[in-house]
Amino acid sequence: MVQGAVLMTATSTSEALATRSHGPAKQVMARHPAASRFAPLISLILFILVWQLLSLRYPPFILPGPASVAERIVEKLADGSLIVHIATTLSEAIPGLILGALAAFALGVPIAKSPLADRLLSPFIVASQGIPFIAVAPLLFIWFGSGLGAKILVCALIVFFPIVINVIAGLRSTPPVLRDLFRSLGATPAETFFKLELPAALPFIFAGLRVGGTLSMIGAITGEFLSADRGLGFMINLGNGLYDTALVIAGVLTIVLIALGIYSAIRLAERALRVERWAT
Amino acid sequence: MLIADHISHTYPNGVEALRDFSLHVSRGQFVAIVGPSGCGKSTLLRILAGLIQPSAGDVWLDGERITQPSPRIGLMFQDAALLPWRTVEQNIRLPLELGRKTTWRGNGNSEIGDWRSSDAQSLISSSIADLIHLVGLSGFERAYPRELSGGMAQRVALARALITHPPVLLLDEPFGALDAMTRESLTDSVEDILRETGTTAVMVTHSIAEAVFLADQIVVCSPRPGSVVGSVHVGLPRPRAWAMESWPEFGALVGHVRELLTQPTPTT
Repeated sequence: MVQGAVLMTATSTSEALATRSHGPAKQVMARHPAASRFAPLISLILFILVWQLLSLRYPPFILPGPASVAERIVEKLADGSLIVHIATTLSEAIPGLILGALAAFALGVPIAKSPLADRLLSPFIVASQGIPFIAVAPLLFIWFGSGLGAKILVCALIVFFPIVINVIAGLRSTPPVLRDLFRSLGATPAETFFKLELPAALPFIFAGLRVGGTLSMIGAITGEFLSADRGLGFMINLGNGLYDTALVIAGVLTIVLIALGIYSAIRLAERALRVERWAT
Repeated sequence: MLIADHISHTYPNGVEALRDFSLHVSRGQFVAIVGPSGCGKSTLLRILAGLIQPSAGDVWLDGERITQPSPRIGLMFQDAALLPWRTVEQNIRLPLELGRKTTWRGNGNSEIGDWRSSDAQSLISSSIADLIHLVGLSGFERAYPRELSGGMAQRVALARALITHPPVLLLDEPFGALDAMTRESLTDSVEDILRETGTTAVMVTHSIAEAVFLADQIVVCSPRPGSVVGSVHVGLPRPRAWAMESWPEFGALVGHVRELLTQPTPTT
């Protein structure tokens, strides 16, 4: 069951990647449709095989085999604790992503539109990227307590940068000839923003959201590592403490799957909006 | 009547684009401006459109000074400048949704106050359908720009420029990026449509043949800073056809314009 889930997501990601790439790899795949369909399956089987072989050489607390990891996941699903951990982590990551994206818009729009705002705010935004969040997160816990709020904040901070950079780049990507067109048609600034600049920025904004969406899981886990009594980060920490390496790997796999899920959801929204048609 | 009165323009970076350029275009006339690259032709067109303010001189349209973009002046660029997320129909509708929407006049007669009213909407829809037919894009109403060829995209741009029934249309090398065959069929359509709608037009172009084919009057300008070198009247009958290209008159006009273009320019 678990392997089935891994497989499904792996296939959809490689599709997502294939639609983006235009290199020789795609041409080869186009010539061998069967190869393209089964390639992810084959690489997955190979991966599990190598993992299994390697695990035979080491004791389970160093490298447990795929079977014992799968067993752990099933066990944690059965007693309901995995669902609680997933729900907890998502309750931090999703609001964190939304908060970070809103902040990115609130700052990105004025920076893109006003040279003064650009000069006032840009240094802080670039500097913010240099902040080692793992080191700073404890400060946030001191300031805001160790509850949900601080963890959402850590997520929002990590998610903020890739989104704000893309919002700014996107809003600045409007072709000058289209600006001239809107000016010649007497468009108001609001009309120019909503009917031209914002739609023209959507491919960039979605690129930022895709990166931010996967980073939001890292933000949530970072918060949980520092202080938590539930959540996937807490589960992994617990596994580490008990030398239950199978539990640690089960946690990591779950996080990867959820990140892929968030990525795919954003990608679906992008397709629903037909953003790919934009390419100007 | 469109008048450019002793226009000079120097860009903030010190480049002098135009010097004392004057132009008189009567109602319904087609004037082509021909000149070497960088003679300030595009600058002139942007000034006529009210997109930039000249350093000196004024632009007048029917006795009214043009200082900013006016709903009475339509524009067509070398790039079709279509919004990729809108269909052909929605692109043509765009001008009606922006600032000037309240001044939209049905077929040039009746003023429509609220363009959102159902009366106005059905009028607009039929007007768009007529235009799509006029520019020869029937069947492509719901196509997206990426599905169109360069010539078809320019046809959409033409329809979009005409949807507000502007008395004046400015064309900035609108056929420059097209292949020869597409050029011929599109210039043919433009000539027909502007003649039928009685639109006054000013076009900037590199192509002498295109200018002779479309214009009533050709103004030749000098290298930068652009100023008027001479003016050629084109007396060819309308409707024009590309078959006229082999007429001796056509050849003589082309020769005359070329001569003006290659005249040595005075050093001062």
